[in-house]
Amino acid sequence: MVPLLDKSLLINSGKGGVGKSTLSAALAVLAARKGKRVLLVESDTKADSFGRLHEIFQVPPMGHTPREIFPNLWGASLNADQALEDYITGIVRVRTVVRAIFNADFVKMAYAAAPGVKELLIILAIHGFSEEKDRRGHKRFDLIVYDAPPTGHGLFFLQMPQTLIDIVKVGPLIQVARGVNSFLMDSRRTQLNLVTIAQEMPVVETMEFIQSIRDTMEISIGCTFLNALHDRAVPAEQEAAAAQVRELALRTAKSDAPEHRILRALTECERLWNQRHAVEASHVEKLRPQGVPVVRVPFIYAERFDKTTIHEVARCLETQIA
Amino acid sequence: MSGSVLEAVRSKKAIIVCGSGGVGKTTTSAALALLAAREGRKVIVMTVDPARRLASALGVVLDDNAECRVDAAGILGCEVRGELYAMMLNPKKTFDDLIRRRSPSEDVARTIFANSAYVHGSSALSGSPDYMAMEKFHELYHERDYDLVIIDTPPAKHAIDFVTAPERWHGILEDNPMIKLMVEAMRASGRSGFSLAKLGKGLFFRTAALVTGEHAIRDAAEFFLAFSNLMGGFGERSDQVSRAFRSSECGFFVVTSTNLITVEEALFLVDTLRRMGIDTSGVIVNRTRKDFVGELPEGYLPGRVAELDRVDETLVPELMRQLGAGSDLRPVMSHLARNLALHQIQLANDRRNVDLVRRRLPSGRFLHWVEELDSDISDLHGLNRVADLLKS
Repeated sequence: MVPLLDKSLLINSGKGGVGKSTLSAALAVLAARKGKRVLLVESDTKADSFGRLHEIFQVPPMGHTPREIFPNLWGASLNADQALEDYITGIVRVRTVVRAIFNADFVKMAYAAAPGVKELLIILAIHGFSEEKDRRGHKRFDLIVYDAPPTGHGLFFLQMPQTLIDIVKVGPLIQVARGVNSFLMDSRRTQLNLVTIAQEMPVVETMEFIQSIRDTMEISIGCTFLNALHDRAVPAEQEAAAAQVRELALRTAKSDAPEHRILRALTECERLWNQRHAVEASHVEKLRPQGVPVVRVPFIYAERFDKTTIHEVARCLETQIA
Repeated sequence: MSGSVLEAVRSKKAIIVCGSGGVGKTTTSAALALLAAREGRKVIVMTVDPARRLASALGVVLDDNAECRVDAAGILGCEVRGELYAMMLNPKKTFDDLIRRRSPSEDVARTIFANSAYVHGSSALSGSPDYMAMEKFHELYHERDYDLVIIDTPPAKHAIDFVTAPERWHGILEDNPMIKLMVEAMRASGRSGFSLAKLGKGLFFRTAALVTGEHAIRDAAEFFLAFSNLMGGFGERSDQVSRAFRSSECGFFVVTSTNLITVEEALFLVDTLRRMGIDTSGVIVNRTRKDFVGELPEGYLPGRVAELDRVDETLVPELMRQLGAGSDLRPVMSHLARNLALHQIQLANDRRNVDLVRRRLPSGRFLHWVEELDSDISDLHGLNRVADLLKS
């Protein structure tokens, strides 16, 4: 069992198109079902872009403010502009002044200009949520699951607090950056997980990503989710019977009768299936030397991932994650 | 307007390959380049693929930013009339090269490399490979003698980032009044004499100093000063790239998988490009599934995932009877039939998604699909098979 659910923040990243959002949603649902108050956040959405989480949960698009979308589970789609306004308001304290600052176009441009600032603001906002208390002084959320930007985008958002500490040296921002950095780099509170599928490029990229994380920062890596794994076409104990079927197909290879065509289709499909399984297994093997625990998620076919499929994935996780 | 992949590969001077992550952009880009070389063109394919897989597939060792010749004819053992080159973009190195090329002297370049603001700033900009990819594209397209430049667009949060890079960075680096103000203040005061007072007593700077500290403002100003001194001509270059994107010599290929979400993203990308005045040459649908059965009577295989169990009542017993198979084969037949039924359901969905592209794609654009290969594409022979599929 990989211990994940007792943390405060789980950051899930991986190459684009490997199922980060699905895995993040399933992880959040699993934690919520176990009684944790969970906040599931995504960040890389623009008004004209594709937020995924609301589609998965079949709810209206989400905003910067957390909203309950499932028992014990809140969702938010974080927005850097809003996060910046919140942050500056915290320091300047007068909303109208903040607004005045914001209404100047060049301020927006200035912060759009500096790479990584948006990512930093998102991390600031997440840190803010993790510290939030309710009226009785209890933490509002036990666990935050962050469906983070793809690894192709770099480690940037994780490095920003440290970069700030290095270049800004003094000032109020430094205090904040220090707080966020120690939160991110504390293995008891924060864990980074990778999501990948068992294909060459995503696996190699995952390995390189893990290596560069280890080379450059102290953040703790929880696990690698291996998503969409194909099993063998038939269980091992039926292999002998499958060989008989293949034999039969070979003997009737010249026949054009529908049953023989179907028989050939069955064995061709079996071949494809087994080939896929073998290729995937060889890629999974490559991850072993890195010593990061692997959580396996079987291939589930769905045209769109929705609540039903998320529950199915959550069930697969349940036996592997504590 | 180009009617097919082959036509575009034969006639365009640049092909920008874009699409969401994981749809096979890199493989497609490399296969297109190989196809172009086979058609007799001198072609270079540029990628920022961090997995370095392109290099191994092409059979070359790609050094960062080096334009490497690929011995396609030698490896494939057949005639390749053109010349194939490949390049792996290193954003940080591109930035350094840019500074080196545009510095008035070696000394100035050294000073800049030592500047802490540059060190942070340049690695920060490397986090946005789109900008450096744009600079490199400009160089390959305008300053080299390639017949065709193929760009595997860098991974980005938004597939459109590479295309919008010229305008975005132009706005940021050239037209930003705050940066101009800072740079002016720096110039006027010299490094040591810099103070916020000289930046004026504007509300913004006072607030900014309150938020970030005066130190940070000075560092930023230093960085932008270095930048503005060296990025001269940036505006001109970004304009040229913008124009190139909109000319008929440049083709945009949108790549997608058969999955509905990526298909929708691809269509969204086509629309976005059109709004920006950029014409999409066509869409390539990657890894379409094989059809194992062809035409079958209606209802022979279940049409929905929820009906998969039905194969045990209908298809399996019927097939067993027709084949005269012993009952010991029943469990395995049940497995195989379910797999096949699932495969065919996926195939039917793929076809619906491809149809969606066909309906929504403006007329005159190609829609080309590439059937999935049995094995991973890990060498030039594999790429050559993809090139064949792209040609057909």
